Amino acid sequence: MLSEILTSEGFWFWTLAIVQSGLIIWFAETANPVAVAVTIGTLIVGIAFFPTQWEYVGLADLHHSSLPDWLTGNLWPLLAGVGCYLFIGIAWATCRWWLLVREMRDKYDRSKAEWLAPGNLRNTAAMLRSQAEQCPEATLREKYIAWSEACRMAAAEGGHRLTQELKPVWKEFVTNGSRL
Amino acid sequence: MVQGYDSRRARTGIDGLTKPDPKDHAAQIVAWAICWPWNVAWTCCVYNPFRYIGEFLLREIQSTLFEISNGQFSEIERDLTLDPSPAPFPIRKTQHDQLPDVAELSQVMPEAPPDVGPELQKTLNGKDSETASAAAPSESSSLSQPDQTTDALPRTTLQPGPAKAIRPEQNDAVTAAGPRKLPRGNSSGSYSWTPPEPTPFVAMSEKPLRAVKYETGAIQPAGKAPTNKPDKPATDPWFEKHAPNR
Repeated sequence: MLSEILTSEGFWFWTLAIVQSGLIIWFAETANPVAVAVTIGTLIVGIAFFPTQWEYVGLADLHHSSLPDWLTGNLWPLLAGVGCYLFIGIAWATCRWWLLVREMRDKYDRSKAEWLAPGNLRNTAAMLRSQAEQCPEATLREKYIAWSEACRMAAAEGGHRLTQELKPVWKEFVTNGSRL
Repeated sequence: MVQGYDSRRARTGIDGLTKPDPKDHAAQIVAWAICWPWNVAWTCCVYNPFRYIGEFLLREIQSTLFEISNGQFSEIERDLTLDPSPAPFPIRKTQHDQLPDVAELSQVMPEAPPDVGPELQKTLNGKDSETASAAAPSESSSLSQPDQTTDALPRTTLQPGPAKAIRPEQNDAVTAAGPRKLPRGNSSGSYSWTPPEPTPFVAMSEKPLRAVKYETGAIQPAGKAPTNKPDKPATDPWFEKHAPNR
């Protein structure tokens, strides 16, 4: 049973297709368009080694004619297919870019909502107060104290609102994160 | 997955957040375009784009519907929304405010011209009302009957004067005197009036204000209509008992 599977042309064909697809996805995620194009090319060329599977991919006419004859006979449909493929690809790339930016914005909004929670604002105020007590520089200490007061007031007012006083603290948090 | 921030600096998840630039991600975008069938399948399986697409479509439809209703009801809401800070009184300059004061007129024209009406001539020259009445007995006696107490004061009752009481050149003389600069406290009430301190408007709710129109045309409900009837009748026994020495 196992030997039949391993010697069947269909098994290796679909194994090749799956492995190549995995490679294409991997290269696409790692932003390597050259590797993607090469992998797609090898997948198309690899189909030539499995004549019994041509019917499944719409290439049954290759059994009755040579490849050059088949290409010249189907030149315009091939060009139209390639054009449609690229056109759809550009449209998809635009949608994918929108999804990427949208996901980044969602991540930002979630982080902002978590940071503006009253409990987190109180913790931030306490952290800033302790930093101000340990800071030897007077101007920096005053800045930390002002920020701490802003966080404390925002927490007392219920949080969940980025006020003008909180904006420099939030910007510092976004820029430097845990080093705030 | 391309990150919009420098993941090497990431400590909080949004650390080093920068706006994504398509030029910086050109290779990624080309890769997406080349292998779109695989990328569509992978994205649908992993990133669940239908959630974003659904939210986006829902929000667009909502905003479109709101714009339609706002466009149709903007004028109605403007009609039914009361002004939160009503205009102080008086805000419009009436024609009366444009007229010069009597004191100013007396400075510009110490002697009233002979063809000025008797009332204005009397006022400008500061003459007694009886003298003025003697100058034009038929007009003043027919319209007003001054008593003993008002004879010493300049008369302010409205009297019809001649059709050409002030000539145009006299008006020009008043206008050429320049703008009026009257000291406070020594002028009419309209000049000493100061606008009240504006009070901040505090919205009571997110809902639009409802306009309530009362029969009086005011935004405040009218109180009890004043009547000419006395509060207590003179023959009220309770009133006679409790206030006998009134």
